[in-house]
Amino acid sequence: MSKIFGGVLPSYLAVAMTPRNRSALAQGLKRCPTCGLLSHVGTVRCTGCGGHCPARKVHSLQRTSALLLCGYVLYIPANLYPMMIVEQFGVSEQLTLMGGILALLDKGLVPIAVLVFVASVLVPLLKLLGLSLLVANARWGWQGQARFWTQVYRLILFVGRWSMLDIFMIGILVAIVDLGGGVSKVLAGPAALAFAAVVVLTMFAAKTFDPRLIWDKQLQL
Amino acid sequence: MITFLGSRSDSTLLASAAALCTAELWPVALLVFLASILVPIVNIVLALLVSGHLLLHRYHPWLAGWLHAWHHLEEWAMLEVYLLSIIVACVKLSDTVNLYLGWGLYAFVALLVVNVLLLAHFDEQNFWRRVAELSGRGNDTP
Repeated sequence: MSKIFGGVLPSYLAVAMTPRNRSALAQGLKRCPTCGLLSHVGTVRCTGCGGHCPARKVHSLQRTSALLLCGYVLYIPANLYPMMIVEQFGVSEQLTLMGGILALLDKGLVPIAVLVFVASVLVPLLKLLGLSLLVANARWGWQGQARFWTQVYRLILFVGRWSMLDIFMIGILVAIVDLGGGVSKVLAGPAALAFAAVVVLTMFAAKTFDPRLIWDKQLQL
Repeated sequence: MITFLGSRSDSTLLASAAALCTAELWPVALLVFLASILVPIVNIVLALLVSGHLLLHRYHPWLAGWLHAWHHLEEWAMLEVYLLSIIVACVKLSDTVNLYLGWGLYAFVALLVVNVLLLAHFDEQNFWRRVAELSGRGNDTP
């Protein structure tokens, strides 16, 4: 039993049993996000895996907000500048993020267009907005629906990586569509850089946010 | 990985990262290289190292480090996203050119399936418990 409690004798087992809605932190415990071991709040390093395990992620809200702000700023050039430059028979065509999706729609490839739209427009935007709401929620301790917001956070963590779809696709097209003599060629545009930055920044923002903050104010009631 | 004939050109996983490198988009190229090649390889090596040591009950001072690295790198391997973007790219190209899928693509899909199975069977907390047991034993008899 003492193994489970990180080498500390289960003296507060009795405390843990009594009140229901109380966080581990209120009971002087914290759970390591890496190995799942419970340990005493005072310990710096986790007794199980030796990793850093603060009771709450350090400066979680500040870091997440900073990353989000960068994400919002870069989201603008990602949508305005050309994502892809297609040269065909000497004619050069610049496609923005939305332009590429509209081109797919023109060809009648509706399911693929929807897929790309969801992955590269909807997901980054909803991620930025969702994380902003989560930060606001934790910052001002809006009451109620903590369970809902936790699910939102889980969803954001899960969908984040799928925005890379567009970047990979550009990489594939640039590599494969290169027929000599100016017949056909695809180049990546400056928006690709901004877009990739948005994806990476929002992934980091989701990582630095601490979902336990959603519950902290809730449980103080 | 995918060969296509119009006039002929074929491409591999590495080439798609390298193609982006030529412009001033090297950070994007680096990101693609990391997410589609380097991190998946490192993950597989780490998984082999850790599970090999645990299987043979061997202790290694870096065991916890490897498991930590694996834990943090896991979400940066984006093979399944890459597969989806291959599909989208194929659909985009399919009306203008003839596409031929090379052996690389089959190998890639097989790798993806194995990777998903690996993650489905991986019980991180159990691994940590075993590592703690082993390191406890390792400290007793240095």
